[in-house]
Amino acid sequence: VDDELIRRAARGEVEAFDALARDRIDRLFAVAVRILRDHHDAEDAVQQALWTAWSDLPGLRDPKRFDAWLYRLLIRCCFRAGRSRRRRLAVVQRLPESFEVAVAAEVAGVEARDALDRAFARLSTEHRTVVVLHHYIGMPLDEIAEVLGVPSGTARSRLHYALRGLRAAIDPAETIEQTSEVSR
Amino acid sequence: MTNDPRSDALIRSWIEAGPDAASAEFVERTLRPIPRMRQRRSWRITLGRLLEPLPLMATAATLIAVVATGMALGGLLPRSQGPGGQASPSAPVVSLRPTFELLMGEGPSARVYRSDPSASVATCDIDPDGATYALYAGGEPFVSIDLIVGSGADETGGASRVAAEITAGDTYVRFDPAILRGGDRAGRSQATVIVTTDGPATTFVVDATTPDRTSGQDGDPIQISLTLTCQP
Repeated sequence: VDDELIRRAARGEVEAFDALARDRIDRLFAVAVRILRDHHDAEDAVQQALWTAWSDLPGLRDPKRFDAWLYRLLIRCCFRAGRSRRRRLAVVQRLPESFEVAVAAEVAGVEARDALDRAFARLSTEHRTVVVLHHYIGMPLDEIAEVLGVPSGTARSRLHYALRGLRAAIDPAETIEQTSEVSR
Repeated sequence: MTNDPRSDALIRSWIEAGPDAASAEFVERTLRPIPRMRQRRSWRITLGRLLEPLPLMATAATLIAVVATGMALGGLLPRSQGPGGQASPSAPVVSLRPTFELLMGEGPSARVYRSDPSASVATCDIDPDGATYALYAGGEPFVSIDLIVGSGADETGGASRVAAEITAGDTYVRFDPAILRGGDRAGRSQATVIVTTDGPATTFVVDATTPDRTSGQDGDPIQISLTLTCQP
């Protein structure tokens, strides 16, 4: 059904694109807000990604690649938003209160939540992206590599590095191991 | 490095928590302008689609026909004559694209933004009733402009018939003093537009004062000067 919608949207049928976009916009927003940790930046990134998707859709040859292509557009927009925000913020921006409350309900212990929050904030946009795509969307590393336009090994090492940082934030043993790795 | 399943479960639940739905207002704000946006259709895409199902010989014949048609249109072959001995006129397809200069703020802290020719979204549509819709998104720093100039804006008493939503770098503003899109309360913002036409190009000079909306709530007023030209 989606393939037909994608073909129709590529031929310029606004209703078809509207249906595709409405079906995906929540997921796109959820990914963007986790990568960027800012509602306004996330909305900007999703809006730009969907507008570009509509504009460039006639150039997509394989409808089966639509979702991967859309994520690629979104990630590009997130990187751009991330770069722009880094320039304008000298301090780490905290998550909106609603995010923190929701997290608090899920994660055992305020300390662990705060520690993860801080550790995630210290990661680059590129590293956050791999964590979110892999652990939130459940995207395989090979597909992440394709979406990001990097070799599989790079995606794998980004995930490894990011998870090491997050684990270290909540696991003292990991911290000790990390410290000793650094000192070597 | 340890891979403690408890740590990973904690990380996963932390990532999964949080907002997972966009607001209805945002969904509408994003999807509403799409019917007014053009799709990019390069000649390569169009030609590729035309040729895809054809066998090799037919492909070659089609290519020759396309080239011959192009040469005829370009005046390299004798033109076919329509009734009365004149070349058949065809309806011109006019695609308008906006260029702009945007000034946000006043004095030394004012920022200037200009349109980027490679922006992915850049369209001007003029309704039969004379209203103009300009959409732009692109550039570095990123700028998006969604501008409506209502019909009659160039007539006496019509200068306030302008509304816009603008993101420029770090700043987000919107204004709609004439309630063209129903998104402004009376007195929240002031805006005027001067419309001038020069051949196929129409220029809109917009001056507005509206609250800075970057934080999601109305902040201090900010001065905006936008000169946008729609031209082929």
